[in-house]
Amino acid sequence: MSSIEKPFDVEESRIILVGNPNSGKSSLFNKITGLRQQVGNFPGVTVERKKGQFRIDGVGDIEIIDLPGLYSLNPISEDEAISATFIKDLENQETSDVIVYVTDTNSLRRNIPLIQQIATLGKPMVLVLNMMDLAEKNNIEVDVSGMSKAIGLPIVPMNARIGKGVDELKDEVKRVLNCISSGSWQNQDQQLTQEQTSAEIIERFVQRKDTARSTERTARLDGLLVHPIYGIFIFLGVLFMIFQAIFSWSSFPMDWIENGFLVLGNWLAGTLPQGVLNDLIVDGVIAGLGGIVIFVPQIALLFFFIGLMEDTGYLSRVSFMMDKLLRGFGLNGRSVIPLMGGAACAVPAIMSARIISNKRERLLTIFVTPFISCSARIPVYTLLIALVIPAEQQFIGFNLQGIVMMSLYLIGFGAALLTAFVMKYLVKAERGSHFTMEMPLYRPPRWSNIGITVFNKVKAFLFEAGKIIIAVSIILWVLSSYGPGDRMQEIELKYKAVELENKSEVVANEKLEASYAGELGRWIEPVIEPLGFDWKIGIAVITSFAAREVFVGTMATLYSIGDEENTVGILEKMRNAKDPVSGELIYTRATGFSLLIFYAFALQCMATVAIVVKETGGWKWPIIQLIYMSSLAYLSSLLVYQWFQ
Amino acid sequence: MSYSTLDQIKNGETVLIEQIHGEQLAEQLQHLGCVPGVYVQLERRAPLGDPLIFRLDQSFISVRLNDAKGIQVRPSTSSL
Repeated sequence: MSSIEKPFDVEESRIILVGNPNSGKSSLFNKITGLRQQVGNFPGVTVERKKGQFRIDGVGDIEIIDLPGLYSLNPISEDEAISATFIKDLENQETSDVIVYVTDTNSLRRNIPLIQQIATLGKPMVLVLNMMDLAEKNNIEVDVSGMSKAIGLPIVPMNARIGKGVDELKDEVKRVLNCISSGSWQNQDQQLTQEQTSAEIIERFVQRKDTARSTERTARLDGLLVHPIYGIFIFLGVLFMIFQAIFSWSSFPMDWIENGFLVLGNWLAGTLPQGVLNDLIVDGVIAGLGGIVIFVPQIALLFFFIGLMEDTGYLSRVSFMMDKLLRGFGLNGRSVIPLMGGAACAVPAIMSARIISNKRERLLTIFVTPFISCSARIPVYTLLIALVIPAEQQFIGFNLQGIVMMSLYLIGFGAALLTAFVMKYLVKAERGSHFTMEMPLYRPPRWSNIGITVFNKVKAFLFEAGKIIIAVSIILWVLSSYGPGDRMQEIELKYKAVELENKSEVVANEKLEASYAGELGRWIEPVIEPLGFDWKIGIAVITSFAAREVFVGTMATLYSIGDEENTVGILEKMRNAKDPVSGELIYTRATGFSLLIFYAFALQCMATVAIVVKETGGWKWPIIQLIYMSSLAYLSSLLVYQWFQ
Repeated sequence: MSYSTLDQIKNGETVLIEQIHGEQLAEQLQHLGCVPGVYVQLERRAPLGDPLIFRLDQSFISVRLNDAKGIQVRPSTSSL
């Protein structure tokens, strides 16, 4: 064999991972590349193709591509279409590509038609029989070498979860690539493309000795988890527990982070040379960033719980249980994935709506997903709730802050459903709506995969949000430190000779009002005054169109200007904020609730608008969505403020 | 031999798929391994009575009641 091998060129070679959803492709991709990305137990988790590097010892790094799972080369949904187009186009590529077809050994039978379809394309292919451990537990035995000879494909048994079989796959791929490069590769899978039925292949080489234990365990668990009564209560209980956990577990790390940033800010203020740069870094950047980092514990917990539900297979059951209910609102059981994902971030959630094959149901899901309270709203909600509801206040034994938080999520969910219900009658249906879905076997969570997901999401939140926050903080700091004409100097002169107890604060406030930011806030004030918002909130509403969490950073920056000692957190500062004319507190219950409702409904997120443009293929729907959500936010805030006034 | 449709079967009953009406539905089901000639067993119903979970080979699939009406089946004495 080695005599005909010729080292191949790694630059010219690619590995393409193909297979059904939920076959463990992404697990294999993780193991093989070490690249961090998402894996889940829900069909359709990979909705975009992913690239990574695959190291073969003594040869080098080869590109490996993980395609979204598909069931057929005649796709039904968007994510399948991406894969099917990619695979069909392989013929026109210059590179030497090896298709690695990954199948769950337990469902080998239904994979045979797709394996045959792909084999017809004539590309070199290696078959991976994944989840061998589960197959063994299920007493399924595969005659690997017999089957390999019969169908003419190299076969590698694998357990991608623990990395078993990965080295063997690397060797096999290396061998195939060497054969291609030396010109000795021959497609030997003609047997497979000929008239050989999957039943024949399976019956000859796959033996099942006994009833499958993991299948029985799944059936028993379903008896409880989708039970007409227990099932519903378990689901509601899970949701309630998640919200209580997010609030009670995260309070300690949040306190540490808040104090840490105060210490850091003060240390920098004392260490860096005095001047403009010092002000910019301490009052602008550090204050803005501190307002964001503090919410990492809550976001990490939320992603952890969603990841856990996805990885164990429970999320599919939630789709199943909710299908009939959601159908009444023009949605689909699968809409649960974008809707729950929307609780983390609307952008990946809207992308995941690709798993819905019906056009109208997909559009409606995309349209209403931004109503689900995302993690970017958590900072805004937390700050405002803490501002207007005392932490120790209880309501029938539960933390009232947690209950208000949960209510906001329910209000968002309700708005999403009602909107979908109305839209159902406005958007024409195109073709029949079906709901056929695999219910994956329950399996223990793969903690490392969940860990990777949480790490990635938090990292993305910090970096993506962080970039915007730093940019907005700097712009905001400039806008609020400088003003038109020489008003700033005039104010300095005016107070020069005056002796006041709280002189620096009074001067800072007057300067802020005279600044460009103050002008901007004043300009929008007449519009937002009926909602109970003052000009400082106005500035934050404008800047937070970039992203909702910028609200907190903006408030932190606005309120830290003039506070030279930098002694208290943003919450304390806002709580004590008074109207300079009337002397009344600004953040009353009415203003707090009005702001909460505003942020629950308004589409304050550039990234969401951008992804809706991309997913709906135009500006029509994002513009309708933006106008609709902004109007709803404005009217609701108006009603809430007038009611509580 | 009496023919009926998949929505009419009882919990725990196993039937043989005879024919699937509707091209789109047939294709979606084919992807999940549900084609004419395979046995399916009604495992359970969703809390609201719809959709249904069927056991098929060693996997579970979920199908709406309305879609099940378009699937012609034959009663079977064998169990999965």
